[in-house]
Amino acid sequence: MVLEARGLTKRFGGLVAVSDVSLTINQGEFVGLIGPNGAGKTTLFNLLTGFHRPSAGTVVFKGEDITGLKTSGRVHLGLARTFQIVQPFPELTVSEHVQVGLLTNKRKKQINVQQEIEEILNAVGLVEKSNDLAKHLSLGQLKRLEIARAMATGPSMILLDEPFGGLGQHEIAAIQELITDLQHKGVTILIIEHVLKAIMNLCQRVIVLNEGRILAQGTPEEIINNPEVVGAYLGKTDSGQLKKVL
Amino acid sequence: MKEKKLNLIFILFWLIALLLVPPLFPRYLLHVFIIAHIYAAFALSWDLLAGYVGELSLGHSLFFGLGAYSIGYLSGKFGVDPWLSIGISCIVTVVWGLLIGLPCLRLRGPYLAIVTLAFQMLFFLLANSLYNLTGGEEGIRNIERVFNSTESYYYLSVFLVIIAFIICYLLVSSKYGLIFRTIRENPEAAEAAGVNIVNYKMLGYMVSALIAGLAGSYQALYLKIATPDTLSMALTFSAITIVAIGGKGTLVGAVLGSYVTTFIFDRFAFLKDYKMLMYSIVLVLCVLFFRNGLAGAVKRVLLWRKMGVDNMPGGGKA
Ligand SMILES: Nc1ncnc2c1ncn2[C@@H]1O[C@H](COP(=O)(O)OP(=O)(O)O)[C@@H](O)[C@H]1O
Ligand SMILES: [Mg+2]
Repeated sequence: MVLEARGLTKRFGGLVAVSDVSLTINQGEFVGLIGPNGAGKTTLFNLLTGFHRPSAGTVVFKGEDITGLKTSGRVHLGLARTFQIVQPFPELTVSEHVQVGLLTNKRKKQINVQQEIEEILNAVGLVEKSNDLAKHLSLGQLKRLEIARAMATGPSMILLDEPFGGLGQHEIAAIQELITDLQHKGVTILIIEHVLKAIMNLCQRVIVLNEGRILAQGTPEEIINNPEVVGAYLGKTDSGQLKKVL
Repeated sequence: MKEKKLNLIFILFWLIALLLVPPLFPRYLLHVFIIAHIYAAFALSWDLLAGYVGELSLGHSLFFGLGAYSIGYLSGKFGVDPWLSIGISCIVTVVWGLLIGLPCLRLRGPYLAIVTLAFQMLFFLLANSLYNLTGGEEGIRNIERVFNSTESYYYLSVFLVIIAFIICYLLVSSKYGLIFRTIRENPEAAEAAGVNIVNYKMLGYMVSALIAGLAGSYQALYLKIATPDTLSMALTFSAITIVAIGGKGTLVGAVLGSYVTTFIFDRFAFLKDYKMLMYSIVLVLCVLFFRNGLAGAVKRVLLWRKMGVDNMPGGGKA
């Protein structure tokens, strides 16, 4: 087990965005986290990565209780993330985005930074852009830059928050390939996606969040045939229709 | 990199020019240069925070004043050796930076700027009103004279400003510079990239406080007096304006900006009565029409053949 959440709860005033969520992710696993808009997926990521303090519950990463650790400390342990709404450093170059991740990576000796930057930018297909400022990139490029920056920190686990959001078919395919490569390198992946279809073939297991609670988990097959999941997405409809939506 | 070379050339020419000043110019101008150098060091310390770390330090004269009053007390009141006093003043300033920075930097939001501002206003008030302790508006006098000639004070001011510039330059061109800029650009993303933003902001804040304190104590050493205007809001404002004129996030701009402002105020002495008004107008004009400042303009001229004007690096966000 790499990551474990026990009874995670987050209240925003009266709103309970995440409610008593417990989950475990195993080493090398590729897990999808789906659920309707506002289900609490991003908030759960914020709890796991230390952007929010939980109202209750604990987070354990590689056997260590990290509930009180700040985000950067978790990154140093190997837990990286990307953002649903891209968060670039507008006035920095593409290669500087990667460089900062390498600089803060304390588990690895810095031997040839320039070469590592190039390798990572190659993997995400941004080598030609390495000297461009982030503010001049397209959304698809920024989404890939998010992943590049996370990769640079040398993670053993990456949390990806809707990496396909707002992208076209070609760009989605490129990113699918990129995260499959990551998985082959042994990186554990937890991926949020609004639409199950995009991660159907990638995920070994899917967790469904609804109104802050875990509604179901299982293989992608099990999930699309689960009537409760159907209900959460569509109200009362049959699963044939759901398959089209998901 | 091209930019690195430009900076080295700048330092070299600057140093040579400064060494030519005493033999070539009337003695009276040395005084103006000394003041310009003190302001330049102070503006550099402000630019380090605002232009690189992205923290607007609105009460920055607090550190200048702490430096000035520390040497005032030590040398002026207790007769401590003035050189030792400068050293202790710097330590005092940094300790205050720590005391304010540690609790404030843990909080998200503009707390650091506000609390620094609050302390600056409090100390300004105390300096003015506690006549028995601080000498009120008269300030603290009798700081020991260390040199007989203005030339010596001039050379020391050259040393001071070059050292301040080199410290800032080495810092921002090292890996810390990149880390500072990620914090300026997007603190949450920086944290997600593994940057412990509290620690690095603290580092920037300490170095900035140290340089501001050094500038303040040198001014007191030179003028042999520490007065409340070393703690004034107008002084902070002058640093902000100098950096706006020169170009934020460039360091060179802080230096160019202070020469320009100091010499203008010297040439047109009547403007001194309208300092705040002038600063406000110039600041607004710079932010609206002169975003990259003098440094940006110079760089454009020097580099324009290599790059398109659109691709101008640096300059920073206003
Ligand atoms: N910082 C916040 N403050 C207040 N409410 C929030 C905050 N972040 C999220 N929420 C609320 O929590 C709920 C879950 O949001 P979110 O986690 O972004 O959902 P999802 O990512 O599944 O679409 C929403 O109702 C949202 O408005
Ligand atoms: Mg979301």
